[in-house]
Amino acid sequence: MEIYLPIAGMSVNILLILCIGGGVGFLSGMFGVGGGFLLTPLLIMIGIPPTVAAATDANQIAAASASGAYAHYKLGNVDVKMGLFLLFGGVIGGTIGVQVVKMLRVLGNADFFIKLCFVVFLGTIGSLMFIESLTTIRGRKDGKASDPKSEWFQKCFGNLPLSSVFTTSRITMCFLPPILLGVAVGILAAVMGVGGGFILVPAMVYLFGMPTLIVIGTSLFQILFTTMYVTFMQAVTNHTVDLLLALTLLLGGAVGAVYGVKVGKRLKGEELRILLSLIVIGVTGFMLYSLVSTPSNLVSLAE
Amino acid sequence: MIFRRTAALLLLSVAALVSRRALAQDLAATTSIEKVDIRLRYHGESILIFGAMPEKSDVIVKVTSPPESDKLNKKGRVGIFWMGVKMVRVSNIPGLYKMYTTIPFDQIPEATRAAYGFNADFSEVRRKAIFDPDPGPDRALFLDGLIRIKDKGRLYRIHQEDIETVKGTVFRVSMFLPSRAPTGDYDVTVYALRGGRVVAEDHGQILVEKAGMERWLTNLAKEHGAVYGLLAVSIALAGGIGISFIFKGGGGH
Repeated sequence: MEIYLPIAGMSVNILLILCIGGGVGFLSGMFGVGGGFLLTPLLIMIGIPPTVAAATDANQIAAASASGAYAHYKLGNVDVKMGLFLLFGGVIGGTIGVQVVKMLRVLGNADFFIKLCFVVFLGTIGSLMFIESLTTIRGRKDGKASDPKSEWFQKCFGNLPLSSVFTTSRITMCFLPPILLGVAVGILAAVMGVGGGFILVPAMVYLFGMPTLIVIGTSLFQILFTTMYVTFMQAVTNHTVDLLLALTLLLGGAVGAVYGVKVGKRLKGEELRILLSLIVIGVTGFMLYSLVSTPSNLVSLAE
Repeated sequence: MIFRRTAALLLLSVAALVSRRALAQDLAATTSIEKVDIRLRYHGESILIFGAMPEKSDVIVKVTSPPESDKLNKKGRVGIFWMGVKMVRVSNIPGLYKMYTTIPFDQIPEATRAAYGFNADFSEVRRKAIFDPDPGPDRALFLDGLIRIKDKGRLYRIHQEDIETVKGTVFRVSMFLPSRAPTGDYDVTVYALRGGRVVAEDHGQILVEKAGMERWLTNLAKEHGAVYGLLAVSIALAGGIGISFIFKGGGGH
């Protein structure tokens, strides 16, 4: 069954879109990431114009994370205080990021740099997460203690001034690192067109020493507000949000997210992280390949 | 069944056309649809272009959509990466360009082919394209690349010897309008050729536009971005939380 997407200006198979939304929603609920790094390339692959794909993506992620964040909130997995600090930084970062994108567009080749950003950030984080979770899984078997480097970061942040107690996460730390993390994620969110969950999750786990489930809930909470803001801004400035596409993705995505949360609860933190790291590494590999392989057509449509 | 009905309609229409419009040396063309409404279930449309043709003539049908402009990027190797090395804007390019013929192009004299763009390489599109800035020697490369992109989307096609004729007096051809085809007023031009020269021309139009909800949503997005944005965000919130409620309520656990 086909439906016509008014803003993308083309018809698509509704089942295909439901499946894409459902699959990405499932991962979103399970890992606490928005899934933007997967959804945008998938939509472009089926022929949606890149600008429409990126903007509509934000809308779909808002829906999926609303569903996921709500489910986690009910389970007591959202550190609202931490989320608000992140969000504060996120708005600052997002504003800086929009200017960075403008500059890149003037210089040309924005698409290339955005892809390169993906490869560098996703590749680094994916590999680090993979190595860490593998070590943890092995360490658990051998009965070793956790990573001393993470503990060093946590001790450092704990000793900084402006200390604040994060009750839900059971940690005490200075509130500046969360704001700075928010700024960094905000910049990347605007430049790369993603929610930034893939950076938030490992940073909160390794740098702040928060429990994995709280990290996932809090990350979804932050992503929900970031993507709502991005959706609105895209609709106002670029008119590229396709409501019908978003709605179809949403139906699939919200259902997927509910199941993702359920499956995620049954897995251990390090098991979740090793799975996420494998997906991230896979996407990175795919992107890297598209940057270095000879294109079949030397000419492409820009923007 | 639709086809049989269309065929009957075709004969009637042709009879009417022939009597009414015998001016253009007996060339008279029309289309099965004059207005294409893009609605929710729209996924392209097959349009029949048919009419009466002068005896012992050949027919060429050309369909074009209004001119557009595109930004094109030429990729080149930089280190190990392939990245955009030259960006141009090309304008005066039809979003859709389709041509159908009764004869192969090589049976038409060169002068006629050049004048009317009766060539398999979209020579008319190439000639009319306006570049900014001028790509110099890369002009052909940009045009080749653009035409390949359009061909992939089934927007640019040339079908030689693809027009059906009945007793040398009636022609018909079915044109597929892909869902990706742009909206606007399409020009349908039909040429009759005799002895390698164009002896008659007839013109028609097809209006392709969004209707109903598709039109409403497009207008809202374009003209009331803030309202549209709020609508999108509210639907996302309500939908996301609503669906998780439904699943909590119904499925246990």
